[in-house]
Amino acid sequence: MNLTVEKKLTIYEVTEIHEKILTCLNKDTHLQMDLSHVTECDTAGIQLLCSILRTARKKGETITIHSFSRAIQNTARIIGIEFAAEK
Amino acid sequence: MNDASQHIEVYRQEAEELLVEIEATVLELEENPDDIESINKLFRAMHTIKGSGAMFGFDDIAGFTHHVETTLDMVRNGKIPVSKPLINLILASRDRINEMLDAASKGSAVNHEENENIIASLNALQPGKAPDLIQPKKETSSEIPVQGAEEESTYRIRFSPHPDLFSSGTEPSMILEELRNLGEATIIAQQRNIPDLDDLHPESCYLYWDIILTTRKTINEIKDVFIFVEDNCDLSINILNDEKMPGEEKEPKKIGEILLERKDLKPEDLQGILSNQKRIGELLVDAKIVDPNLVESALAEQKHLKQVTEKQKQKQAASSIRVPADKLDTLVDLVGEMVTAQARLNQKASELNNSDLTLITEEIERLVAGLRDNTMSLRMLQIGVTFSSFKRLVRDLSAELGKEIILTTDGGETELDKTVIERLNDPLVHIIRNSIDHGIENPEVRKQAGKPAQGTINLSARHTGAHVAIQISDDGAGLDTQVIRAKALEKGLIPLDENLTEKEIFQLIFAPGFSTAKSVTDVSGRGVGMDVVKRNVESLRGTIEIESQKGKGTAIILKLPLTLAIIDGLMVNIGNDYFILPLSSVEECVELDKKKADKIKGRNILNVRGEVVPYVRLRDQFEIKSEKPELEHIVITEVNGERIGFVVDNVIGGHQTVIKSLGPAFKDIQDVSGATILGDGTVALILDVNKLVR
Repeated sequence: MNLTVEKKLTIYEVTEIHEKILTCLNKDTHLQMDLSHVTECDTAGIQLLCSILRTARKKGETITIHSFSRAIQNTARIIGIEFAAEK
Repeated sequence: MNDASQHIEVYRQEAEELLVEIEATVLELEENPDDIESINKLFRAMHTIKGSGAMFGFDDIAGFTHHVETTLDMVRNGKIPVSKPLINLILASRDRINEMLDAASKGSAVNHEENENIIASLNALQPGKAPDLIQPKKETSSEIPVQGAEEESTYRIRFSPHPDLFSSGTEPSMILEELRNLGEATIIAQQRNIPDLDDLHPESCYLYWDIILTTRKTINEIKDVFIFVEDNCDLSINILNDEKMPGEEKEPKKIGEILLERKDLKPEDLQGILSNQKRIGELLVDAKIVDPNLVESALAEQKHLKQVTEKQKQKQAASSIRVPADKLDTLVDLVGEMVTAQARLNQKASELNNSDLTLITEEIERLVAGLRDNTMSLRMLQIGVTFSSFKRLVRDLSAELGKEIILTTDGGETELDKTVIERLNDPLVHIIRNSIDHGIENPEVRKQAGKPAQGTINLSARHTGAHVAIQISDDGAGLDTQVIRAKALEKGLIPLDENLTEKEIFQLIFAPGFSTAKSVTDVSGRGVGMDVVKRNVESLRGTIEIESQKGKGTAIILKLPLTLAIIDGLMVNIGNDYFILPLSSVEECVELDKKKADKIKGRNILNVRGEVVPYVRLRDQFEIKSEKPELEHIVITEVNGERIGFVVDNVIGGHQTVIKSLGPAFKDIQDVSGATILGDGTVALILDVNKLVR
């Protein structure tokens, strides 16, 4: 199942996106997320990504993220979080 | 120089240095547009130029720079993006400031129209929207004198927001950015409290931060950064090191200590673990006493402190003092004279054979040698500065010609004599221009040839024995021997039937008037180039060689002596006259056996282990009339890849000498490049082998 995140990944969008992801995971065992279109990202957004990655690590390859956009990388760098190379 | 003009001179020099730094930083920013540090650097540099300019009465410069500073301020606040027009404008502004500095020192007028154009373009970059509704930041203007802390201190900050931080409208990245502006910060985010997706409340804040900040600001100024969130977080700020005594070696903090201080570790656990041999951090994680993230964070603090201590050590070591170049030259001269006088002292002492005197002269010899080496090293500069200055040239020129070329450098820390570097500048520029103009192909041509569209020019420098080897190589089209040969024939430089090796064909490029450019572009190809380059390099007692592979690329290798003032020479004599040959050219010395000597086509040749070596009789060359000895010697040298012998009476031995020029009356003499004074006061002439060979 594919999920594309639109331009914004901020405090205002995280709840909705979080729910979408949970719904997807209930229906399907595999989720692909496309983050390449994100142009605005804040700490809440990064936090959500951290939770996704942590969950994916535990459950083993059920979630794949494509392309952390520049905006995401930038915010992550500012708040001191390193995302490992693209999965 | 009165006080005022001294300060003005200091300002000019400082501004010039800043302008060099600005250019380099802008080019870096072009390659890494997200690098906040570069943007901050640019802002600070412009700010300094503006501030100091205003202070010393350079109102034009201050007024103009103010606009650039404002623009850069907007860039670092994210209101203006980093774009190619912005980069070009900053470069143009930098050039303008440079011109205004020049005009100011010469007393000539300033072209204000040009300034107006740039300012208008800068203004056009600004966003037209209303100012963002971000909460007001504290105005940390550097014009207000900083109270309190002048020295740097390092703080450990733990910033633990409450879960409702996001809901209260706070965005942590802005706070962390502001902290970074205060100094050097290492920021680690702790994710351990973030739950899995099932348990996550996305609008709560689970992250907390460990920050190590090295800054000149006071602890209150740091607290100010958090002033609007004090109610929504737990904050602890501790000062880490107190640099009280200079020279006291600060031991880097041990991990256990750091964890203890942070209360992430209990003393009894630390003790228990210390009795093992593994690294503390590993052990603690293995024993599940401390979370790996906390250890990582503590390691980051350790690393940060180590870096800060290193930098401070470097700063102390690297503090420098400005010295006018002519004072340095005087010093070098005096030291040179001292070396000469000391040689004579040595000679006299050995003649007198007085052991006490000999002992003292040996000590003086040691000290003078040390003084000489030290003084020579004062004149040494890193060539990296010169290399970096070419980046702009490559960028602008390749853009002009529609090519994509990047300049890479190696060995920038290699040091050369100041004069050598200065005199190398023009030859290097010419070689690089050739490479860009004729060497690297168009992107389309390159792609067809299976090469990456972007061409690379590499500058490298390294020490090889008593020389420095500088190589300029490109991955361009390489040299086409057919084309060169054809051109040489056309210009009548070689006879039709002459069979030349590839090396000899490459050498033709250095002939005066030679150029293979099909169209004479503005850049190069007027044919005045490579022969002048070669002459320049040779006048520095260096050599220049070309290696090339058609289709693959070309490399030009310059070999230069480390210093112009001293030469390692081989002393020879002919009759009563003494001469010095540069040792670097000398390959071997053999006795001249008259029976083995021969003549081919009227040239003197000698058979050396099966190889034919032509030779020159220096006696004849210099028309020395004294009696020829029975047994002569021949010094075989390598010049321009060929072996040539010089016949002398005797080879005396190696001799390191200070070179003295012969003076203006003798400047046209070709074969001699200088002279030196021997221990007994006689003058030995230093021979220029390159010229002798012709």
